[in-house]
Amino acid sequence: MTPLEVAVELGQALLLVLISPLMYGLVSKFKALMQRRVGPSILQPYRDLRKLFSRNEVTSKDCSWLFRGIPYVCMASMLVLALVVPFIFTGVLAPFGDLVTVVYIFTLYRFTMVLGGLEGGSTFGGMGSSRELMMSVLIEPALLISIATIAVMSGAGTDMGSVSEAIVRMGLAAVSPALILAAASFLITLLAENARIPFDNPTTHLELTMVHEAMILEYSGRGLAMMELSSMMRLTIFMAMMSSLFLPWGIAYEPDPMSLSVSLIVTLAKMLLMAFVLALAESILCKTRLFKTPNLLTVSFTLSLLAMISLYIL
Amino acid sequence: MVMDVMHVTQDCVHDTVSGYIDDGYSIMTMFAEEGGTIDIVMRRADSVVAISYDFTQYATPLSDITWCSTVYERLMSEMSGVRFTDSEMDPIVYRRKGDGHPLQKGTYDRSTEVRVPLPRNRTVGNDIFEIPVGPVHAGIIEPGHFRFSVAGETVIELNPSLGFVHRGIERMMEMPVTTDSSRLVERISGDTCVANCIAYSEMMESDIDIPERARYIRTILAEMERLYNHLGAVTGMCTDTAFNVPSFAGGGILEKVLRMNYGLTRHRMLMNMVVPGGVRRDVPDTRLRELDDFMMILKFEIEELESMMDNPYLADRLETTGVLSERDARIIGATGPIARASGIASDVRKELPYEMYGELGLRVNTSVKGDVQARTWVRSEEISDSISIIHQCIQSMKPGETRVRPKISDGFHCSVVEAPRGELVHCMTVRDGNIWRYNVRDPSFINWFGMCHAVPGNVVPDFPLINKSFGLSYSGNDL
Repeated sequence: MTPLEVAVELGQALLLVLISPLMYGLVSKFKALMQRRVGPSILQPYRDLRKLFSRNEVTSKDCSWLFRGIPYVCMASMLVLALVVPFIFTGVLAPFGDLVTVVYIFTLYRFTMVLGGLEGGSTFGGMGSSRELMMSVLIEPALLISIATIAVMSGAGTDMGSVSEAIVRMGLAAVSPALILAAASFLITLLAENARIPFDNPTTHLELTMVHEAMILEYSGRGLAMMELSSMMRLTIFMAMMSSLFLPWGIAYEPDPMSLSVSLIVTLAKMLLMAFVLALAESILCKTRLFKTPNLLTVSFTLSLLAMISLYIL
Repeated sequence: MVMDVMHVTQDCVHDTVSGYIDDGYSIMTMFAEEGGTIDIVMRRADSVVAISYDFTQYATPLSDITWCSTVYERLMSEMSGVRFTDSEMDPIVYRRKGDGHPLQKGTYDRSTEVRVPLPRNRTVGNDIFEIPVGPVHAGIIEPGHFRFSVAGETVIELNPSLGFVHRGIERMMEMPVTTDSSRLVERISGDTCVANCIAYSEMMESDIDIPERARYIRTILAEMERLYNHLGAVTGMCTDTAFNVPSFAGGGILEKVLRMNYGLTRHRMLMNMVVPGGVRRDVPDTRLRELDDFMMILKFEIEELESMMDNPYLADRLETTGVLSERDARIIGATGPIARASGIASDVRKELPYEMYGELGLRVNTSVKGDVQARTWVRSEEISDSISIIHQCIQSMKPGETRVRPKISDGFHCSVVEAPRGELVHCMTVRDGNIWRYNVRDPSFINWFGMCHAVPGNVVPDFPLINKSFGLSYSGNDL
């Protein structure tokens, strides 16, 4: 790995972190426009984060050091993912970008957040944690199989960078039922993982219906800022994975300025498109009943399984 | 209306009430007057009876005849210190204990008060968890404390504890009848100010007829109030299910209605318009024509909103959620849209017409399902009906006087009004030109019990939706 590659790699990780509040703002803006509202500025998440980072933390007297440590773990796990997920350049820290590792870093993130929900000692945190775990057992296999399908299809091992590069090299031959089914499955898990409608309502104030929000209800100030930023990063990383694994055309696999700048423009356009699709999905759906979310996640799992099977029989 | 009160002795009150209950009457309100008198007001369709009896040491419990009376008995024991048996009754609204009782004459010392904690839920067991919620909530809503007993996500038992916004309205109303208390009455529950004020004014006008134009204006205002309340409730269904597009579309329409309210009365919530003797100001004809045009546009906008809400995802959330069966609704004595959604075709506007309702065509919409969707449907039908009523009123209005001097005589007065939330009952006894006892029975007071029956069996995340579909007032309940 050349120093140039390392520089590009670090640069794209930094870009990923920097644009994640923007992606959040964009989704909100698109949603607002679909609801015939003006909506807040797309820069609003940056302002919210700046405000939260400058505030003091208030913590419950019932919680231990773990509660204060958890935002750092969440933040760190997302920063690691930003480094290993191909975004505009596939030459990521190759041996570390293993897709199984990626899936389980997501699990680590969720596990610590669930602990944080319980640590706060409030009723709502516990409810949110139990609901999150119920969903996570169903998200995990679907996520794993849909990514694995792509890895198997590319024949380039389990490293995300090489998988992405191999798919691009396959050209249009890669567009197969397997890719489409896996992408559909991944899209559902994206909604579920990121606590979007129909699984959770990110804008609700009704504590009794919350999942993700209930777990971070007890956080404030810097802790809350980190929890918010890491969940924004999680959404952006998911979108980056969608873009580099299921729709990788245009991504740079050589660190030369020409292909990097093309990749930057193409990737940002793809991110914009995905923000729009996400906003559209959130506008035409409403939150399902809690005990119907497993049905949707089962659909996601079935789709990913079909994708895997179609790879062998078609 | 001035009511002839049937005075009975304590010995035969039980038989009298039980006779009326057998005839299909149900209790509308029950309250105690200072000095050991209890008044019972009952209704069957268009006939209302008032029964009154004096008691010496213990009042007669009627809970063996009808479940309804238990809640009023608890209320009387808490508020007026009436004793029914030797044992203490559970407090129901105020939940505070001090020397004396809030509704007793004379000064009431609040400094001795201590809050009576809500007893633990009856459901206990290894896997049963108790979730306390409130009284401070995350949204901008009124204060109320709820205790859920849950097994996993399923609610087994729900007990509310209200009374956080008790202001002692009934006690404050005890003034000479010449005092205009309409401003106070409007604040019983801010979003029901017209209905409350009409109920109060109707009693104050017992000896006179008010001008026709004033009655038309009151009818329009009452329907505007129903319209914005129902529209808010229907929109709330979309907000609570995160169905954002219709939610904001409904919010936009609601804002237009509120601005129309402002144009009509210079108050977005229609306050300061209804007064004893008529209405405070006439509404100019230009404004009325504007309102009529607006109603036409509103009709189409509501239809558009309804077509947006005709969505399988939304229907999946609303159907079979929070069912209140007709049997339960009858036992509790549920009123208003809640009762109509459970199959009870009762509407005060139709049965006991007041203002101009007797001369207008109106429907009673009922559904048999009793779930959240039925309640939403009943409300959205009533929105269309309100639009039609307002149109009819504007068409038949003639210029004329709008305010006369109110006049009231001594005796027992009672008025029943169909508020957006249901049957609203105001009663008062006037002695020597002074209000001796003023009683308000807000529809929410009864419907809260309906909600507590509808929630168990549903999952916790559906509670906010069920709560919103009942659309209950906390301040109306607490008084």
